[in-house]
Amino acid sequence: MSDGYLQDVENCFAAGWSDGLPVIPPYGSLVEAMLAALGWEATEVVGAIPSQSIEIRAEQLAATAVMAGCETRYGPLLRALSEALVDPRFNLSGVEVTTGGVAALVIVGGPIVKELGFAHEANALGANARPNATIGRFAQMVRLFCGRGGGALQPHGTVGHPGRIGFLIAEHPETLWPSFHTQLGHAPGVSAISVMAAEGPNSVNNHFASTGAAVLETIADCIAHSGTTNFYYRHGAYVVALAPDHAELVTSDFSRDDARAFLMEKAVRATDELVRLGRIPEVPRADLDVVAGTMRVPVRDPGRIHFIETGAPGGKFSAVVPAWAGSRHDVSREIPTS
Amino acid sequence: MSIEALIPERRLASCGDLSCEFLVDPIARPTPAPFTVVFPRRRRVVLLDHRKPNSRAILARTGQLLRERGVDVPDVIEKAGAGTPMSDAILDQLSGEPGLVLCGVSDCGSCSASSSVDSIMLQKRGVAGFAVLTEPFQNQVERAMAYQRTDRDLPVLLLPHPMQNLTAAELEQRALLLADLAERLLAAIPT
Repeated sequence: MSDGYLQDVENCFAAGWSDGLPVIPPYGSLVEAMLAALGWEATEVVGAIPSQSIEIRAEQLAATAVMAGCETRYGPLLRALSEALVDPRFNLSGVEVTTGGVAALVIVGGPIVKELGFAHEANALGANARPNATIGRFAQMVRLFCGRGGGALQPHGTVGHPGRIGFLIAEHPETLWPSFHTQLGHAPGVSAISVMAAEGPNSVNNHFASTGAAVLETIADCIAHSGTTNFYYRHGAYVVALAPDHAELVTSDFSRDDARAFLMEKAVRATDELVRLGRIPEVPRADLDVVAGTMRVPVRDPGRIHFIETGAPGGKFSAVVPAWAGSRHDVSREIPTS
Repeated sequence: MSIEALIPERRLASCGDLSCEFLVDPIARPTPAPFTVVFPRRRRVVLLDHRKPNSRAILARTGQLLRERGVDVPDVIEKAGAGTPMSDAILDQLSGEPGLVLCGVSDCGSCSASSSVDSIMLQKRGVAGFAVLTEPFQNQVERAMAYQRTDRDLPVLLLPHPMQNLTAAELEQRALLLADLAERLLAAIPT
């Protein structure tokens, strides 16, 4: 490695062109190759934040992909992911600056998981594999480089979480229930990429359960812990990452819809208790349906509890990933086959 | 640190023995048209709420106080989400407004950034829109203005933090302060 290259890496740090880790310097030749892989012209406008007078151009996304360490063979996936990230429903700038400290969670499913070599077993929610790490990092860097008003806006994440460096989950290529993205309107056999503004994952351990119901009740308790952000507004969502041992129990006893209904019934806390703790104001907004004396579930729409099958067999763990309370939409794109 | 110092570099070059090549800037930057900061032309105050806890209560009481002082205050307008700027429909509705528009009250990251953007969007339509923020978030307007070209700094109306868990007396204090701040901006109207 030349001194010049190392100096360019240092220059990127000094210029504010970094997420805090060393980047591959976005040399023109590398960016051009990435643009070709993405299928865009350099100045093509891929997205916009009109209220900030910002246009997001292809060359900025290509440069970011290079800097994150992505390979050009990820091009079709990165194109779909870029389109999802700049979709106004994702609210890129809100995700960047919110006190909620959320990350852009990327979920990949379908044949592309095998094709690109995503890790989807051991440590699936934080895998040390190049596609997971670099594509997950790319999404956070787009959030950082395009969502911060050209560097002028201030991120207010109160505590944040490590996923703001990279947060990608790849689904098992073969699943017991239909693929994750079928919950977002895609056909089962396709490859798709989805983005959600998400808090960090909560691990759910249950080593001795012998039924799917017991596993789901444990998961319900995690969804409905008194600190979960969604209890007041209930606009948010939850991703339930079922690892194989738990998935086998749950899918044996439940259809996906039934599991969702079960969680809506069990993932509750007493409204009065939430008011006592200060999780809900004593004088709530009328449209938020706060009813004293009732139990409250932290998600309004059962369709926003999503299941994904991922992780390594042998362990009795699953995870719950709460979506940002300010995020009302899940954004997803099918990845065209090459 | 100044806001200017936070803005990432626009150009980086990599120089070898014989020549240099530019690295490609990954940062999406605002490219706004210049505008002139406008102030109210009528003793009228429009309140734009975003439904964060106690924002409505403070704005509603502020409106009541201003009415008692002879200011024309229509019903509070509500935008759909605190973490996003106002809709085009509300922006169109407020275009041509001769009075003062208060955008807030914002006491969080995304809502204070959005209220700052609301203020700028209104200003660009020639409306005297100003963000109402709490002290920890006071530099959001300055940050949102970093790429803007204007004739003067855009004022921001500041209230004490926090807004949640307030007693009735604390709510009253904030509403009184906001009414006084609004009056100061209205005082500049030529008679």
